[in-house]
Amino acid sequence: MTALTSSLEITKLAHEMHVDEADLAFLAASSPDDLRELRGIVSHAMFSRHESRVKGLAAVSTKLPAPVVAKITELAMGPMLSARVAAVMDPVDAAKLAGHLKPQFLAELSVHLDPSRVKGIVAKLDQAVVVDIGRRLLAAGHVLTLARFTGVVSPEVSLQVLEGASGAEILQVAVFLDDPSVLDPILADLSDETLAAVVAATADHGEAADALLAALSAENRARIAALA
Amino acid sequence: MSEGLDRLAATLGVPTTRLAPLEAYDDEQLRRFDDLTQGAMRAEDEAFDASLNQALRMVPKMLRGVVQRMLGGAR
Repeated sequence: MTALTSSLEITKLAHEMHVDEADLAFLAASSPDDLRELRGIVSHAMFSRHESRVKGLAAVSTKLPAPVVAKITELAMGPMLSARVAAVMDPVDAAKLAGHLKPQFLAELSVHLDPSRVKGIVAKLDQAVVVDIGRRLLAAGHVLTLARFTGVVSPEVSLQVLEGASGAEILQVAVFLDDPSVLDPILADLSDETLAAVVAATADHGEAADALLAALSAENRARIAALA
Repeated sequence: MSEGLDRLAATLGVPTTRLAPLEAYDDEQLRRFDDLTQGAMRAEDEAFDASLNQALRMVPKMLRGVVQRMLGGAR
């Protein structure tokens, strides 16, 4: 189980570094906790390199009308730089700007975001916009990004994002959760039919699914056992 | 602490002690990880500069100098 969760952590680290996870395979001997800590160090190092210029951009953005900033953001800055700027913006300003950006651009930007840095912004966005972004991420196969955001949105939003998702898609998101406990309230509100589809998909995920199931509440485990 | 770990710590801007869990890896593995980290940083620097320069081109010329100063001398 540890080797498997280490492998999931390697996938997350590779995503953070934009490298092939096979290049990091040698790290499999490390514990999941050590790899999570390393990911935090790498993420901070990457983020800090441009922090002063990013803060300057965030300051400039408050001096111009939001529709103008939105146009520059979408046409010139692109998702990566925009994600860096969003992470240091005042949540009120960032949420106002987000209202002028296309949902597809917001979805692309989300892939480059560290959700823990933008909790305040996500909380101020219209719920329908967050659900739209989540569904776009799911459709594009960004299950890792979706899993990271599941920790900063309400179970209600997660349920709406996952509405219509296959059991396999839900399971893919679930195995990448940093904190599996956020899954309990989501699973509790899934229909029996959807939960049965998730359980059926666990057959293809072996130990990953076992690790996940072990982290669930007794109530959810009992319900799953009854459905299996 | 090994030379590989010192080098990686310098790249990541942390004390070598923060990377203690990686002590089990040999210098060759740590060098490879350091190369990957530096490569990721270079790629991000390039993408960052390209995006920033493109954004600056959309700022009216008369304001560009002011904005560049606010950004700490972006090209």
